Amino acid sequence: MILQEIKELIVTLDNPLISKSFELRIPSLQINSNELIGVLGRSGAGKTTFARLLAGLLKPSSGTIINHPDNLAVGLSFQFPENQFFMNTILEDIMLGAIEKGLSDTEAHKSAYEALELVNLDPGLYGARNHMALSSGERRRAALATIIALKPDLYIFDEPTAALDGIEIRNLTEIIENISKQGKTVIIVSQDSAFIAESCNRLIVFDKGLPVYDGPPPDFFLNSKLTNKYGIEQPPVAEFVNGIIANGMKIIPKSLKTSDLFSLLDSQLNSTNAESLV
Amino acid sequence: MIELKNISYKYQSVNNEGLLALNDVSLALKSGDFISLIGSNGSGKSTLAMVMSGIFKPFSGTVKCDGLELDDLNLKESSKKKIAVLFQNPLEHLVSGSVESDIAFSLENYGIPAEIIRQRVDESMRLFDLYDVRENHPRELSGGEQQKVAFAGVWALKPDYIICDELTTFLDYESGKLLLSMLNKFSDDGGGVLLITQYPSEAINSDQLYIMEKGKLIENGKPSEILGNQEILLKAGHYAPQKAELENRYNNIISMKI
Repeated sequence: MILQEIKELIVTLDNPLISKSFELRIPSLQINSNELIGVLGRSGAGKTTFARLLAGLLKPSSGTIINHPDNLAVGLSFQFPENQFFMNTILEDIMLGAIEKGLSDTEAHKSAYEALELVNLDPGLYGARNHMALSSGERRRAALATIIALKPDLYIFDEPTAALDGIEIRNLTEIIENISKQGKTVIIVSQDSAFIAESCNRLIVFDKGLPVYDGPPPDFFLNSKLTNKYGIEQPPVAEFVNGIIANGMKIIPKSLKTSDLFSLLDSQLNSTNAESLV
Repeated sequence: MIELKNISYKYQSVNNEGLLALNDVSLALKSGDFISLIGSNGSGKSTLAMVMSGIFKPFSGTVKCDGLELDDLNLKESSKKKIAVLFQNPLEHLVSGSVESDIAFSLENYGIPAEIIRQRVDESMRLFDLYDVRENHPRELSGGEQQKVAFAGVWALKPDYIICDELTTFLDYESGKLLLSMLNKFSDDGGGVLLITQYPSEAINSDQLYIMEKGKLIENGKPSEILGNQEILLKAGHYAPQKAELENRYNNIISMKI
């Protein structure tokens, strides 16, 4: 199902500080339900402008972006979302947005509890705490819960892994999987190609305001000519896969997620062993 | 040499007991050293940077730079700042209306003669490939370019030591590589570098890697040894890289021709 449909779109940014205007140009692009989309590109390529456009914070200068339905709910998490807390407790902070959205106190409370559970923070333990009493990784997760409690159809996370340690990045991967299991679409704007390779099933790469790649992550990440051309770090798993392909193994991975690679390589090895027994 | 001896640092807390962010930390950063530091979120890495650069005063212990306690260093008279810090967010550094004036800003504040400022600003702009944008307002630039301006300002100051707190967090791959190579150059030229990072891959080429956990430095050694030890990596908040998991599991198909 299509959530957003972009046609012949141009966004022109005219910040008074900026002497040269920036243009984002998207000839045609669709965002569908239950996708995990990674957005990569050099600094200044148009990634954040794209995210703000999808969230409705920017209007096109020309062309169209159509939401399905019209009132499509988009949850956008900016860089360092944990800086937004200001209530006495985490639970109050998470409930605030849901109440603003029109939920009753009881509904907002239930929604906040579910959101905390989804980000692996026990509501009974964490809900009554002030945000300062959480570690920075827990604060990031609680901040994402404020978005989750609003139950958007489309999530956009801008640099969600910034400044997180490896354990918290793995927690974040699980959270995104949990959101995806609810049938939602998640868009991750990031510089972290390893995280996108692990989390996403579609990749959009921007360069100089244009989407220059839109397709399966392996087709881009395994092609070092493309990664070099657009200044993207080749994820270490892609280096590994290219290494074993160069070593003679005939595989075409549809995903670079570690667990998917385990399945693919195990089945490949089993069939190779079976052939050698014949 | 910057020498920290038995440093402890406490933040104020609601219950007035204080939150012990650094617990009896000792560390020496010598000229020409490139030291990396990794640790989980909240382990005390950034607090260490603040204490080491003299921004925070320790609760107990001493910080000396080239034999003098930081309190005794008269920075203005020395006409050069010995210790420079680069933060994750370049906007914390950028204050002027143009790239050129921003790079010159700190030098002017330290009373360095105008002719020398001119030479150093020109050299920094060329080295960091900023000459074409020298008249631009720093806010016109991308995050990567802004961090280059911040680094160029530090470079022009010619400090003896640079402390970087998650320098590459918001940078694209190419910008991150450039700034890390400049840090290596600074160290090769005799400067001391402390690189605080959440990316173990950035630490691989340093002389020494330290691991911080709950306000203490718990391990140090050659990066290749530390990063190959899953138990230590976990204490630093990191799993073994997924590539290493795959390599371990499929060692047989990597080592033999199929």
